[in-house]
Amino acid sequence: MFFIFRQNRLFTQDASQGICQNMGLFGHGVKCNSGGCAQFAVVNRNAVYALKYFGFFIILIITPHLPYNNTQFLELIYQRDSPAYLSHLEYHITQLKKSVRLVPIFDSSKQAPSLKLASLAGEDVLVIGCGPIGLFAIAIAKYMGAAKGKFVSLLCLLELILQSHANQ
Amino acid sequence: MKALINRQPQSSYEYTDVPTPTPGPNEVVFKVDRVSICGSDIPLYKWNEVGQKIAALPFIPGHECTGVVCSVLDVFCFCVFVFDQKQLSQIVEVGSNVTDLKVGQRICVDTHLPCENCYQCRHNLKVCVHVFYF
Repeated sequence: MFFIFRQNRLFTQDASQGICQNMGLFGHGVKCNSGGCAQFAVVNRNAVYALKYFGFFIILIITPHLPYNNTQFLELIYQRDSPAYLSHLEYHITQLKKSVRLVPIFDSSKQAPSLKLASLAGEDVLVIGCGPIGLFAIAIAKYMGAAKGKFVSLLCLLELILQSHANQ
Repeated sequence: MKALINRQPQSSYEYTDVPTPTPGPNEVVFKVDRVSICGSDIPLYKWNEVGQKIAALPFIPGHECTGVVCSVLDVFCFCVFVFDQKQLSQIVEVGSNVTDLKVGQRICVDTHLPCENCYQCRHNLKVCVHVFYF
């Protein structure tokens, strides 16, 4: 989670203050006429981040197989209205391991998604789906103290489900 | 330059010519190579209740410019960088007060633009730990 704190600019531990009430939004027309659906865009320098290489992030790319025998205490971090949650994910996971507990951290049913800071200190975390939201969930889980992480893509999950059906 | 723009309070985008932006003293102009469609772009396009609350007319949509999809998450920037190295935004012009960025630098953009004037901004408290506007 060190990236969130990288500049100590957008995220703070002080819970007594809210967000900037006069915030502009790039691509929304709010105090900013520019947007990405154009050939050129203009923003304030403070909103620009120079890109650098972070070679060690290769580690985020995906474990090929999830060992079911070690998943008793894994917690799932999911997005509540994601198709995976609504259809297959919860059903199959709970069928495979009754003790797996679902913990929502993103609740996008609200306009400003709330972040539930449940303590994950010392626990193992399973993040299914390594898209942008999944990567974010990984970072948040690390910040919340998760000891170990399993990060799988939905494709890998589908493979596992198919394997489990084949075994049955 | 060509751009999508919504000028009317209805569900419509117009693909038209708009003036090419020029940077102010503290601004940078960059060439957009790709832009993604966020979930909040849908209410912006439909111009429903949510869209009317979070946006203001007229606006050019696309707040997730190339390589930056997550506002503060360099992880994703890196992933985009790996898979699409030649498709990231590049600065084409910088303002007079911008000294640490050069033309040609690959960048990502934060969606949120703090006002720098209110209490939270002046005390470096722009976002509370319990609120995450993503």
